[in-house]
Amino acid sequence: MAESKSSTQSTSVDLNAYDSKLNEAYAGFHGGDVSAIVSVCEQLMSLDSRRPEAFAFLGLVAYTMDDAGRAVQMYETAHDLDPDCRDYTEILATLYARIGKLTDGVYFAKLSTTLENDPRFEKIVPTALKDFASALLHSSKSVYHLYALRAYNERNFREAADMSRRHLQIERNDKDAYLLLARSCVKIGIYEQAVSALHTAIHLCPTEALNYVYLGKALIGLAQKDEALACFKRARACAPHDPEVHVLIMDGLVSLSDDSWPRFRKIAGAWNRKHTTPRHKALGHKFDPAEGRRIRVGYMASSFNLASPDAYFINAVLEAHDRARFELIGYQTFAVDDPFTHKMQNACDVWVKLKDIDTYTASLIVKNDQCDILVDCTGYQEEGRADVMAGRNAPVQVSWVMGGEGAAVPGMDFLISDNALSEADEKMCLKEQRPLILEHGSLALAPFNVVEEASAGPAKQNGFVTFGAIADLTMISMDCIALWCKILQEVSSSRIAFGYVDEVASEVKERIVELFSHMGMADRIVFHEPDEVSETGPGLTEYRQEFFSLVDVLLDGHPISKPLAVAQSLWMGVPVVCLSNGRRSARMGASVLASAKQNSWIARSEDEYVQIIKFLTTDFNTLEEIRLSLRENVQKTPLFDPASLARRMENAFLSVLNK
Amino acid sequence: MRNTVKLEILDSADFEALSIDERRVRNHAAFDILGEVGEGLRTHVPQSELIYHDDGQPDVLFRGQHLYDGKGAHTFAEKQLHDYWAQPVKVQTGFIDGKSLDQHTRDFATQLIEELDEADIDIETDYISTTDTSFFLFVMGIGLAPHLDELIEKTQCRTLAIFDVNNEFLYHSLSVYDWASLIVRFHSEKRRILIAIDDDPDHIQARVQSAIRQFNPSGLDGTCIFTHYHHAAYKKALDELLRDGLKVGMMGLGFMWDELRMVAHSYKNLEAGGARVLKKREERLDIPAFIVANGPSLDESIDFIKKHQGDAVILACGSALDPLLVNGIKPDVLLMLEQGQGLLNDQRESAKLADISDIIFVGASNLYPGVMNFHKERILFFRPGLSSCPLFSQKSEQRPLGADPLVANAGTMFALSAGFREIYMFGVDVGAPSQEYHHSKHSQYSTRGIKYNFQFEETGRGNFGGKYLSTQVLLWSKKAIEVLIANNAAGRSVYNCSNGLLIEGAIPRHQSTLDIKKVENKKAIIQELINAFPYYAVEDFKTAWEKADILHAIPELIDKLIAALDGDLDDYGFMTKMMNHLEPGINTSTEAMVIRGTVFNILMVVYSALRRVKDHERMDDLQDIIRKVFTHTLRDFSTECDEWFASLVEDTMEWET
Repeated sequence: MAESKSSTQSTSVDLNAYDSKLNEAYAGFHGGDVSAIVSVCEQLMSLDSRRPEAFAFLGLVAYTMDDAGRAVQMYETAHDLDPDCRDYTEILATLYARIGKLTDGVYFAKLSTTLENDPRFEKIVPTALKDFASALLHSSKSVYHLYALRAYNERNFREAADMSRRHLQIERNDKDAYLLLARSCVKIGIYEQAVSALHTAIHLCPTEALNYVYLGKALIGLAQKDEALACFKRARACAPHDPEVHVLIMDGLVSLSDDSWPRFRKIAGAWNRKHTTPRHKALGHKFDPAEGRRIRVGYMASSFNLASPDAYFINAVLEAHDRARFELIGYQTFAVDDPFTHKMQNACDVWVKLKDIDTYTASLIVKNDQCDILVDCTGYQEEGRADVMAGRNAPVQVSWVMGGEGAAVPGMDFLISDNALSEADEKMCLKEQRPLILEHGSLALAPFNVVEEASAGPAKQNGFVTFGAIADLTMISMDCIALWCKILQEVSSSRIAFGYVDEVASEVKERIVELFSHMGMADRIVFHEPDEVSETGPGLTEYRQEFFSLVDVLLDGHPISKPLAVAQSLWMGVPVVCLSNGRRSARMGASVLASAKQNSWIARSEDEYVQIIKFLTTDFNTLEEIRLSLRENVQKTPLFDPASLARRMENAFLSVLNK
Repeated sequence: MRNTVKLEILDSADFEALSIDERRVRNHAAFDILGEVGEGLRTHVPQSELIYHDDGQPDVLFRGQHLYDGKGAHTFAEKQLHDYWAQPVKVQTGFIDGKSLDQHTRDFATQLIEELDEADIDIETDYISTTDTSFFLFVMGIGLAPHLDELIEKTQCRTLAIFDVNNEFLYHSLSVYDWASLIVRFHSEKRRILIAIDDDPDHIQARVQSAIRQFNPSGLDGTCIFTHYHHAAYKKALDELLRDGLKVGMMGLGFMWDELRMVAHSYKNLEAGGARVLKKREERLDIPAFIVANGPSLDESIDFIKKHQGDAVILACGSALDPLLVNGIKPDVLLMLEQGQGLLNDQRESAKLADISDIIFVGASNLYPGVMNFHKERILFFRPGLSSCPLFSQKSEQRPLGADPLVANAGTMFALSAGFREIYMFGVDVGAPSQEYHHSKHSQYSTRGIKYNFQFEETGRGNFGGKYLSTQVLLWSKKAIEVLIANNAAGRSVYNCSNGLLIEGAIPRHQSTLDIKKVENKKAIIQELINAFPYYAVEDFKTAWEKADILHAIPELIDKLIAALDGDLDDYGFMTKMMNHLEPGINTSTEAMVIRGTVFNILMVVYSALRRVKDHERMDDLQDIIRKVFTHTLRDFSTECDEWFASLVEDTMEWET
């Protein structure tokens, strides 16, 4: 391996130490301990970064870990450092041929014929890694992007991000892969990487609207909301008529500040006028009780799976519907099923998958199913089918969404609402839409499958109050942070513990700390994260149970509330305080609290919010009593009575059909 | 530790006396025999905890919840079994008198019933059997296995199939249940045990179907299905299976009458050479394939196909040929599958509509001799489920899976294996909108008044929504296309543009949304395609026929089957012995495949009679009669086969030309 050349370049290095480490690396490779090899390679590099061996070893590690792109990178570096080593050029020839870069492969294969092998290194190289002929026969483009797409569809976002990164090591100018990497990173909350990937994607394709949409979403995750708005504007300019872009922009707008909020209805109205089938042209068939058949209700959702919080609410109602009177059709708009999907499939008479089906055909399918009522549970969310809903393929279309906006969604005639939401819904409804207001709330859940008792809370033991908050900057505005800082001032020695999510990326933590620093409260926040990073979905996991046991009161987000988290909190005995004003998404927590008969924790103003918090946290004994009795109190309420909600929804359906 | 433990059957006291570690080591060793599951158990990291209640009963605690509702495994199972036997979930076929089966079986059943009448032995002809025993036992949910022993004891099952959605409870059961004794006992008694860990309802369903098909297609009657705990995947799988999925496990096993003809037709089609044989092509064909079948929705697609006929390879499936020709569309490929003589006449009629000689013919080897002679280029393949396949096929790529039961399956198979990357289906309706409108209006059913005998008694989900009518055979075809796509469509896009039944895996796509690109060199692409398939030479034919030596192989097999009837028939062990000779799960023995479909039917009659004898005191008499009639029937089969093949080789058979 060109010993003499390397030696002359590293005169200032302790050659004995380097050789000793090199021997260690060879021994480690035979032992197969990857982490030990990586560690030795780091040491080799620190001893002499101009020697190629460490890169060659790391290349082998990358190859054994099926990361061909990284392996190429390592061997290119090794080859730069030692251009005379035949092993590196042979490996590069094989790797390039295998990933479909035949010109590069042939170049290195030719080059190899003039060089010599390093006998020691040659011994540890797998035969396949030097089999240029076989690589030529099996040459194909990188499949990592396909793997990434599959992982993304399976909602395995970490895997999707990893596969996209591998692909980009090979195909450095693949704009689609950058976009997919960014989308995956947004899903798992690694926003800075998403931003970085999207900057490259935009550089490669400045006219692709989705790049700007996801850049906007990533920026929202970092609480850079003004910049996000600019991105959404740019996206709209790139694709003014694309329904997918429209839906994603609208979803993003929900997270923006109050100043931007009036735009929402305006944009939605303009889109509706252009792209939605007018009501008078809607499907004509009408339910006739004399036909003696059941009322056919279709539920369309992108959330019929374990990864979605909405699924808990939807499934509870699907399972509780009166099947003697109602025939249920589930329209699944995403690709891959999970056990929760199967559960929901069992709750429906018919199950239809609409993923990858074009708008015309999907509309035809829905139309031919002759639903009497089509319920859209997706609204403005990724993988929703606003394009199909806009076609009015059922005589009555109803929106029932658990987050975001339900009104102003294309093609909707009605919106399931309740007393906590109706004010916002009435304001937001477009000309032909109106809310269907259900008494006792519009959301319900099956009781959680957790027998762990609610805890008394940490306040008494700590001597101060710990508020809980969800570590998700997409949910909270600067005004909300200011309000929470005010609370920290008012409630002496109190803390806010950010947690609940599967992982808080370091940049999000830094940003949260920075935002609280603006108010001088950075030292009053802590983060509580799970021990291991995982994608466990939104259920009441052990980690979340522990999180709720470590906080005294949960502060719901504003302007976006997480209704499932609010319900879980109540179940675990943790009072939740919600600021219920402005848009619908800010009031979802209040809707849950009202269904759970906990109206006294709903604040209409910031002052009231502070008062409620102070009332709850003044006396630790009272707080403890509230916590210990909360589960028993709420489980008898409409919030945990899905059968009752199903009846109310059925009655609402009947009322609109009768009209 | 692996494979070094000596496994013996222990009584329960001896097992109880072992330490937990000893039990686990023993059970692990036993599970290693079962392969995949054993490996999964060794590496499994439990998320729950095995606990014991105060009364010593085991239970599993998972996130604060007990698996057995806090009652303990045995108390829970005791009540569950009590409730189950009060209302068991069983498959009941009723007594099978052979009337709906093939002629050979009908003859057997008639003779059996006559003999039973003469001997005054009564058979319960009602639906329900007179015993709880059954050949198959399917158990959904393992838990700590407190339910298994009683179920096995009562059913005396010969095949036990247990399903669970994950390894969690099975892992804990290794500490409390003596799996080793169960597995060793089953192996020593030549009974089958299958344990599958899977949470996909489709996979569970397929595994049940495969177990029936593989271990005993005749033993479905009385099958017990026990659900230990509920899971959405079990429910979905069982709903499908009990609706009609179990029948699929029994379908498509050819009768002797048919199989004899399959061999003869293949013999005649291959003996002169000149035909090519199928070969799987991985190379990409840069032109879309249109699979065109004769469903009624073809009428809606004719104009579209005509417009794009220069930019796609058109694969006409069987009787779709006429509607295409009548409308001025010359398909590039014609696929045929059925053995019937009627196809010869169909070809004659089609040839009157246009010159069909330059259409490439792709067909099964068992087609009626002469059918393929209307075409210059002929490509044959072998249907793996037919006896002609092991006899004449040389390589696995010549015997594609999923090319049947109907010609649309063959079309899909060909499109997927020939290298097409974009595949569009038209008229592949696998159903009909009404009993009257069952095929294209331009097809022979309308133009030549050919009667369509099937009743559309089934319904299915429409490709473009709503419901659609279908038949059992069409549903079977649909399922087979779905499996084909699931197993072979990687890297390919399959769109179903037919206004018929939904086919899972083929994306519904209305033709109005398609954008078919112009293709400049279609002719060259088709020539490239033809050249890829090699010829089946006369020498290949001779070698294959001599190697099979079928004239001797069939009598030898029949002797073995007769020998299997010795001994007690009541424990169904004779069925296992016969299955070992007939190899229902595999298709490698020509002699077995020629007779086995009919033998399975006869076994169904026998099995249903054994399970319904009114007076169990007369069981021995019943068995004697079964032995006598069955032996006589099998000897007749031997003679019939001998005469048939002799006539084929001596070329004294008569063929229409």
